[in-house]
Amino acid sequence: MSCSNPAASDDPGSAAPPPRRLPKARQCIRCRSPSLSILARHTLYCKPCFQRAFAAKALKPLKQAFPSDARPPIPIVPALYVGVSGGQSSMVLLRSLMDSLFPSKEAEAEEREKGAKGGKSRGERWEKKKVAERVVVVHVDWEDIVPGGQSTTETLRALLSAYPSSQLTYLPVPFRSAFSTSATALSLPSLTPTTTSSSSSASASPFHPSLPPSTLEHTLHHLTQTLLHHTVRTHAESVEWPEGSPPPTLFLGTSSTRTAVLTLAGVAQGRGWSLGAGEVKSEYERDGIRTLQPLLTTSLKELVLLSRWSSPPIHSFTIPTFSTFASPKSSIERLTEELIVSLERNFPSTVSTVSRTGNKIAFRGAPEELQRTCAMCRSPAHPLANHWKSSISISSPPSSSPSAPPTPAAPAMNHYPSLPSSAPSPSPTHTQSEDPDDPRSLLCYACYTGLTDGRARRGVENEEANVGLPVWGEERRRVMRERMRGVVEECLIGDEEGEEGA
Amino acid sequence: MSNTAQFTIPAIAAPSSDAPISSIPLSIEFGGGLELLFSNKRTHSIMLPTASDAQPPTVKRLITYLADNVLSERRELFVEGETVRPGILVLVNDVDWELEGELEAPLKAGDEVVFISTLHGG
Repeated sequence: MSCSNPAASDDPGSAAPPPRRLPKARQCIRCRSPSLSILARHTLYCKPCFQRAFAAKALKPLKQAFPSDARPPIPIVPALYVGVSGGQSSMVLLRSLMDSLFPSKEAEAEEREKGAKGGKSRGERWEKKKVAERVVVVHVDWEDIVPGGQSTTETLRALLSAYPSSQLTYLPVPFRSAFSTSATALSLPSLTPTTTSSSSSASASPFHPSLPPSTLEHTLHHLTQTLLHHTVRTHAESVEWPEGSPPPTLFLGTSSTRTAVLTLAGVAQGRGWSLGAGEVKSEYERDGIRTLQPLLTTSLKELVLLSRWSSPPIHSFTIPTFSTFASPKSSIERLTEELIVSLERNFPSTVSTVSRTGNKIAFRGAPEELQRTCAMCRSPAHPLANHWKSSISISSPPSSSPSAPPTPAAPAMNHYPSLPSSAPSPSPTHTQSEDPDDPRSLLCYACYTGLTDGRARRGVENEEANVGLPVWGEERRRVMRERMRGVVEECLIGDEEGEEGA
Repeated sequence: MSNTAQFTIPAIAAPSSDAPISSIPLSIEFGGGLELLFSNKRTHSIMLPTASDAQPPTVKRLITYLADNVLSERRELFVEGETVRPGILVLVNDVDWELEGELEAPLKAGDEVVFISTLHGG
């Protein structure tokens, strides 16, 4: 793969790859028509068959989540949630869901006609009964987060006006609503060790310009996902759900291409521990919200063509991020994306293999360890992750404390304000200190590493190294403080006990 | 007296091998954010010069022409060597270019070629 450097024209890798070999039978795999429109991985389709194949595939998670033959029958839920960014994938997902949940009269007539002609048997057809009262579209607006970015709330509202208001509710959420200005910032270590105070202004954004692009990208992505779940949960709690309802369901339009990028980039940035807990899976539950990703086996190429060939066409817009139109080497995500789309062009099966493998990865920890989550991204956080990190990194000379037991990989003492005087022994059951002001006990390995990246933070003033936690992180700190207070209060001798002992 | 007018016919220079003999009109469309690289304009009507050998121009020639004459910035985000960057989908008359021979797909007058970036979506 070339490096996209126009000067590298002498590089043999920069020559155009040979055209892909087409299947021998040059006809649509379904109807045998020679009028072909798309080569999807290794399969040839005409336009109508391609659209029908996708519709069947996209409907499958909905059928499985709301089976028509469930006993007892599943009541009609007040809402189904869809996370929509305005990009191609999420807009295709929304159209597909709306067409399935609220079919037009023409589509219903077509289905009846198909049934009368002896299509699928009655038992095979999904009885299209009403599943939900309405669809709630949740959109996180990145205005003011990405430099030069503009608000996308009204742009998406204009696109959603094509759907009847009786069927769709629009719920835009400003990204900044995830952060409370009244909270206390978390003090992060910088490479300029000075005295610090644990309380400072919480206006420090997790998107400080000193952070590397990789950190900015993945922090933005994971915070957006968490804000989506947080918003859905908050909205669902305000709505009355009939008895026997399944958990509130959130649909996300993550494609096969994007899943492969998330899987590889996530592993590269230290998210291996949380990989099996969700995000790259077709279905997972988080904070009581069931999340479905029906497009996990659909490539971006297929989604783009679907949006173009739909009637009416599905419109979308480009959402700039920190690395939009940046060099392919600007961040881990961009490098991974470059690799994946190159593979998808020449070796399409490899990309679907990566995304399917991500779907098979199981969470390695015990079920209760899923509850120990990062205060920033709410992914499962390994309790010993940062102990392991401190044992492999050196940032200051080792301490001469006689109480510190030597270990085979004796860690150097990092110069952090709240670091204990000796490193804990690496017991498998050991958990880190539950200090609500210690970033190591609050953040997962990936967030902690990204936010304290030494290369980027060198020379950053201490105050700038502080970061505000999102509202769910602040909630976790509050719970930790209360727990500590409870532990301390148990140890205190009360006035009555003191008098009895006297 | 002769009635024949005397004219001096100027010599016609022999055409060089690179000189275009004609050009064909094409409709070009950009999507998925690519329009930002082409003066923020989604649709373009161009006259693609054809080679002197009378062979129909190909998509390869079109890509080079667009990169040299229409692209307003960041060439490296559109082309990689002789072809478009990975992640850019190409349609020739609404058909996947992989079915038409990719770079060697022939073009004729009035064809519509669409370039869509599949990146930066969501």
